[in-house]
Amino acid sequence: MGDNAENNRGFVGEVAALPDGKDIDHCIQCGMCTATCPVAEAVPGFSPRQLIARALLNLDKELLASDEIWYCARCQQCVANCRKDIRPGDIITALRIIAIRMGYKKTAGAKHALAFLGDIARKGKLNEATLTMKTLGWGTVTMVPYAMRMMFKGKVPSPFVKKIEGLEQVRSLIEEYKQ
Amino acid sequence: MSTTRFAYYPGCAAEATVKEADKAMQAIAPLLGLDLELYESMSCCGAGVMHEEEPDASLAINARNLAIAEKAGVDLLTICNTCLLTMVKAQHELKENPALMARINESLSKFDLHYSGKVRVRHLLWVLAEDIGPEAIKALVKKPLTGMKIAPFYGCHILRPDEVLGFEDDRDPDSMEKVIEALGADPVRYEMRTECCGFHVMLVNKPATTNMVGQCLGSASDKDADIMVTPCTLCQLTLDSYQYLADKSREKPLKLPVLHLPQIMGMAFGLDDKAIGLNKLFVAVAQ
Repeated sequence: MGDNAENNRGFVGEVAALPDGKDIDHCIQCGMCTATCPVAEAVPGFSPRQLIARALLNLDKELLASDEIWYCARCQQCVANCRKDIRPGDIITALRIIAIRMGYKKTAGAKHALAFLGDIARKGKLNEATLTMKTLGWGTVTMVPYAMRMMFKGKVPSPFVKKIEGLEQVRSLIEEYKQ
Repeated sequence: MSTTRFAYYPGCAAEATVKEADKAMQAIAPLLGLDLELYESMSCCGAGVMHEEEPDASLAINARNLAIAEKAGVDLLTICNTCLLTMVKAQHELKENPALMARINESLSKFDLHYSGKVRVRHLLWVLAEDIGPEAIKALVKKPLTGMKIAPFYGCHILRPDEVLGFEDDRDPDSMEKVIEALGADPVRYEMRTECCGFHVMLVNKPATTNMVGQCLGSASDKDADIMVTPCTLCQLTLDSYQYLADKSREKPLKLPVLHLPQIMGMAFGLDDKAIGLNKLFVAVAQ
């Protein structure tokens, strides 16, 4: 992928080659990210420190195929609290970018990201009515009671999203800057 | 009060699932002297999610939105924390990478657009704190919220990373408390006021969000808050609509109305409940 990868550093080199992952080598595994992570508190076993450790050990296949890399809520607590200022949350973002580029697209998280870009390319805006289905597939049934409540409150968005003016500009930018 | 023009960027949530936030914002804007114009040409910011698939393309479409505001000669105003951080972060990244910014500007020139970096991305809360101020807010209050205990819930993306956002200390913010006091109410100090609601994992990890919602609401409830208020449309959506799920895991039942910032202001300004969409809350405000 980048220069680092060519230096035979393997997966961690690929992470370090991305702007979001560039500081991964400075991680001292202190665990401040996990200590301040609200998802780690809510989901037993989830640990940003461990995700970074696995990347540093080049355990890329299990990492990229995992649901865990998509559990980060992007709350920026680890970014604000990291003692080495390496922005652990951004490193997780780098893992997500690589997962999609390498074709690991079966997780709900990857499907969500793909649906997001798809919507923007289609109308310039999100289609919140179909985003859940595109993310969860058949798993959408678990959201039915929630959706019913939203419906009774008149809060289910219309699936017909009006396209933005100048949509072709957005499409041409996406085409031009796609990697 | 003098009027300030803004390119109004409500965010996808306020245009789809939580339309009441937009309604309340439009209702209070003229009172606050904010002239909000919606630009039909602006796209979704990508919310950091598009960045996970195509980081450069995400930057390019944000540069386009910013350039549209620059061309109109106005700053952007949003009521969504995630839109705020995404756009501010895009500005930050463009500043750090002049080569990419030049390339994007070349692409934008085909649409007669240019991004110089001078446009400011603002959040309603920042405009209240920096431009309008507590005295002017106080002067608009018709029904002071006297005796009401209000828990401010900031939301992550208006606070962190504070060196990128450049507004207030993420560990000790007070802009929400100042608004609450100006409306005549008492701000509640509670542990989770700067924590995460869990919105961004709502679909991929529903139990995590449910747990996080329970923690945040529980923390404010335990300090006897009557109402929670948030400047973020996504936090409001999560904390209000997931409350019934979070409630099941708690001994003490949760019944905490969660209002959008423009709604609580509308209440104190004496606006009609329906005009500010209070009927759209799952957990209603006790009358």
